[in-house]
Amino acid sequence: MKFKKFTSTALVLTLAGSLLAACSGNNSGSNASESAGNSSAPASGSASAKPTGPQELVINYRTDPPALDVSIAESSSSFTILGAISEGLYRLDKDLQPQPALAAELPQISPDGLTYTVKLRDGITWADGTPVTAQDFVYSFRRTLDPATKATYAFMVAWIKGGEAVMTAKTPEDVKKAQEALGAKALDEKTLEIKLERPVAFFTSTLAFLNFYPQKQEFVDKWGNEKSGADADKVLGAGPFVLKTWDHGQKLVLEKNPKYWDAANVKLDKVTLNVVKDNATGLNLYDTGAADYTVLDGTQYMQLKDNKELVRKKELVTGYVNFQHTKVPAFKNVKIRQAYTAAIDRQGLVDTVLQGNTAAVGYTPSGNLDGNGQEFRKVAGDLEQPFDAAKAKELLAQGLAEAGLKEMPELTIIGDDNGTGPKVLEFLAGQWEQNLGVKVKTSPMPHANRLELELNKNYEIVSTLWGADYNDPMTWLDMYLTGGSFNTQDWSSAEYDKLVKGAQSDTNLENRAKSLVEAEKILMNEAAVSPLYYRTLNIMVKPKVKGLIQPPYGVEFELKWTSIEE
Amino acid sequence: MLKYAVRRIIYMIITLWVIVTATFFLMKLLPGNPFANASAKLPPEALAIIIQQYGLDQPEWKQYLKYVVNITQGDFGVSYQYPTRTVAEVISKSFQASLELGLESLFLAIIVGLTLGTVAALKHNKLGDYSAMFVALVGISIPSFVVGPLLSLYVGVKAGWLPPGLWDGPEHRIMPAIALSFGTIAILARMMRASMLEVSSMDYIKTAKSKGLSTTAVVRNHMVRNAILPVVTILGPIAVNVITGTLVVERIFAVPGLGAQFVESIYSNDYTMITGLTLFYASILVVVMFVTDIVYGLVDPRIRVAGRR
Amino acid sequence: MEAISKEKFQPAEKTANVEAIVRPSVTYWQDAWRRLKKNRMAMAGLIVLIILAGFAIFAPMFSSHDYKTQVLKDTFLKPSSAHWFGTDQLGRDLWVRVWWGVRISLFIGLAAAAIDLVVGVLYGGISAYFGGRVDDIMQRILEIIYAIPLLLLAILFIVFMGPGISSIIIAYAISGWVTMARLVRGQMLLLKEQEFVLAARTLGARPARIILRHLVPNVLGLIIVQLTYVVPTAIFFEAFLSFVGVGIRPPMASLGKLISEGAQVMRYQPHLLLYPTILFSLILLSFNLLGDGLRDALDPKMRK
Repeated sequence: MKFKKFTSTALVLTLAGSLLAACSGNNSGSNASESAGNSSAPASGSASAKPTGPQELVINYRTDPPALDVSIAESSSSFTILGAISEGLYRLDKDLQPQPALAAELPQISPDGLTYTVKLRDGITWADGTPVTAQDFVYSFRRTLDPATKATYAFMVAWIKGGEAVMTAKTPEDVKKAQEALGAKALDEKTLEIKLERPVAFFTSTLAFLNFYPQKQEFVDKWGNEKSGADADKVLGAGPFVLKTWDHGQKLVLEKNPKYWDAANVKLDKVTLNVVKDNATGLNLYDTGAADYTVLDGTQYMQLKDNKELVRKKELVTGYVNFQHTKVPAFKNVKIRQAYTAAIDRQGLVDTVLQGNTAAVGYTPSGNLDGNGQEFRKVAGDLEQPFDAAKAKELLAQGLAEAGLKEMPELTIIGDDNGTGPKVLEFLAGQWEQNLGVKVKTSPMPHANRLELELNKNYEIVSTLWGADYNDPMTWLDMYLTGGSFNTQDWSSAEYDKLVKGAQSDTNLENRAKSLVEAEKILMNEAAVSPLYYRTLNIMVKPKVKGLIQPPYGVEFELKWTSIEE
Repeated sequence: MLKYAVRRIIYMIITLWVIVTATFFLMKLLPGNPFANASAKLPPEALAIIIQQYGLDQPEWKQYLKYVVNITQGDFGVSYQYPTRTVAEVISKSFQASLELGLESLFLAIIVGLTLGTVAALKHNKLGDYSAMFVALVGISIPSFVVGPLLSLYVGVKAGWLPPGLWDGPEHRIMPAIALSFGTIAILARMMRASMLEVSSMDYIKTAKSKGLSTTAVVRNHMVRNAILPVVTILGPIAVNVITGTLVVERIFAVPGLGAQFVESIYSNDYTMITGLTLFYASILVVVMFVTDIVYGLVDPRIRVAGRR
Repeated sequence: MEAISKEKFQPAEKTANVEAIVRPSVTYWQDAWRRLKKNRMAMAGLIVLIILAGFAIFAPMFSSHDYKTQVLKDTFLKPSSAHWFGTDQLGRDLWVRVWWGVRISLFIGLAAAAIDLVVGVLYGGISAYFGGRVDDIMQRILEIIYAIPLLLLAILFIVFMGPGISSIIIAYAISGWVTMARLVRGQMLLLKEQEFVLAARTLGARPARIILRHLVPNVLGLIIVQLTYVVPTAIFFEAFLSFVGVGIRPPMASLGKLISEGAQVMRYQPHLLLYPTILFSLILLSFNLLGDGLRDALDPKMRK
């Protein structure tokens, strides 16, 4: 099986945020599985706390969701809303552990790790009162994979056996055939069986992810691919809330779903999400009491960092820089790359431009697990070249001598032109000029253009960012395998490839974790990539809001267990 | 007159066609594609099929022909950013807010701007002139991305008189309309002042005065009516600009308008949206300019003869 | 009635030249300058602009700081004797950055005005003077150019040519002059039917002469008012591009960019917004005052 098909697909550029939220705070456009979760307030999910006051919550939402369709949604702004109005087999709790949701219990997994059998909960219904069946899940997976659905976020569903055959089928007949052969079957009304192409250690958590939600065929067919999920009346879920109003570009109103199986534990009666793109306006609304939740940008954070209402959500997102080796042959030299990395004052970056974020010390962000129950960063330690201007100059001189060059040519760094994007470029160019004595020109550009140049390897230096799709170091490390579609800098290391590929098929979790730590050591020693910071979302939440869970990936917040206590 | 109007309408259609064509091909020059985000995640075969589903694998001239044929049937395609919404739906929804906000601010600007301009001209080089123009100049001297946040913070939060943002009730309309009208007031006031001064030296004004007409009558019937002429020419384009949405004010006051759509669709290479918005903007502009010319003729009978031989 | 004798009459002494103009001869421009000098507000505007331009040229030269050196320990400093306008997010001296901004914004504004003056006036003049079919065709072309959003063109240019001053000016050059052309045309349509044009035409003046010598001076007031509006419009346009993120190539900064950045941190770091905004407003105010003064000074009908 080709590497690309499975592994590279498991990464997501955090596009939604940089794309749509033009102020410095960005959406978390990532998604994945278990990790140490961040919850904004003591979770009151236990139902022990007695909510008081009107159970209404008003949120400043930075992006109008593009589409609220389970198959078509591809950004965190959609995932978050769909997570409130619908549900998968499991729902991640505040510790990011999968709790049975539409499933009655955790899945039965075959010894080879390939077959998952799930019993559905009794009495689960859609918001319209009709029962949710195992067939609804099968239909959902098939629809997502069908090329006619034009789902661009289907790659995780393609982990199901035969999934890729559906995605790549050319004719409707082939699609139908492939769909019938798909490794997802309804054994009966209440039992779902999923066969995987290869074992995925964190698949149970993945089943809590949006792409694995059920869909009701009758309802989807009524609107068709064109209109399903387009308006409030064209969305049907089986979750704690129903979408009452969707005023495009303006606001969304959620109301409690009385038919939800766990309605007794849902405290909120109404959630209003106002689309507010400007952070300053967001804070103004928060200050006047017109919002209970707003995201801060760097300067706002600096002023409010001691405020009790501030919640810091560490995301599994790393901002980093890549050096293109083919366009700039000098970057084939390890010492030159190390010099460019060591010349960046990363702490300075998070103190000035990206206030509230964390300076990077390796590629995998802090908070990311190692696949063996521990936090990867704690096990691996600080691996990246530390900031040291003098050493950087020395490394550059040595590197240039090795490469037979007199000096570095003037290079151009590209990056996004919204939010903090241009400021980061400006910062880096200044650092390299002042600490290394090399000239770097900045070239901010629209997101889609930057991405195109990056993926086509048509750049010299690029400033970019990534979010984890699942909480495992593989989501970070498999992207730099030789020939990987995200290995845009053309870096290659046989030893690294061996370690990562070995880990991919390693069933011994301890060994696997060790190999991955070793792999990152190579990545960092060779300065193949230059990580800058780990992103943190800084949020103001009114103290009366309890139990609002803020997972580090996937969705911006989880509303099911939230309540108002005044 | 009718013949003239028919000819102008034909011209308008040609103009719009040229614009659609130009935009369509200009946009294809933009690097990147709407699926850049997905392109590295999906297997290449699957991506190829999706691109095929959208018809983007066809030669550009075929895509173009199909697009033009669809447009004539009122189909502007589906937005790539909002895959379940058509371009027409997105535009008509966001245009509601922009139009309302624009008309409110335009109304405000016309009243304030023309008054300031007229007063300034009548009190030429006196205190009234200076104060009126100072008020107008303040508006033109400070960018809306300064005025907007200042209003939102000081009037909205510190004073608490009006909501600092959102678009629900009438109270939410006031601040954005004021913020949006600042620039327009200044433009109109200055045009009006210059034009009034121009007119005031004309012989027919002297004639009117020497006939013994009251000052009010001279000002109202002769000066303002003639002075408003150059102002009318720019009023059309100004109106188009304010009703088609302004990114800055809409963003700052969280108004669900058209302003941000354009920038966002360029950012995400949303081809159908860019072309649709350009066409929409151009149609309004062309129609408004047509109407302006007609009004121009009605306001000044001389033009009807002179301009359209 | 008594007859008047012939003797009572004597031939008047023939003075050298009765028809001589006693008042010193003043050209149109001398006269305009004389009247402009009398207008205190306009002169104040002119002087402020000269001073600002002087500072924009010399202030960065005589500062110990430059516009791009980052001093990360000195971020967001309030104004002091070391940094007269304080420092920004990256510890750069705002005094120098602001004057660089004035330099760039003035340059963009003036370049745009020059384009407007040449292309816009000629286009509008030709279109109006010839009228008929020429006018029709020229107006259609104008409508097409005008209807393509400037922002689309600007972003396209900046994506192709990279960010920078030249991309902005070229983008503006393509369609920025259209308003001027329309305005000039509108006014000239009024004027061209007036008697003095008819007279000039009867005397055999060529179109170019009629447009430049007779029509243009008569719409000059309008053109100048429009020009003083074009300079700020171009500066605003650039500022808007900065707001969108596609303007000048950082770390270089225009006034508009400094303001849009300052506005983002307005609540907590007001000095970053205050100084660029004051200078921005001063420039615009001065252009306006000067423009109004020039209008009065250049208007042939107000000549005494």
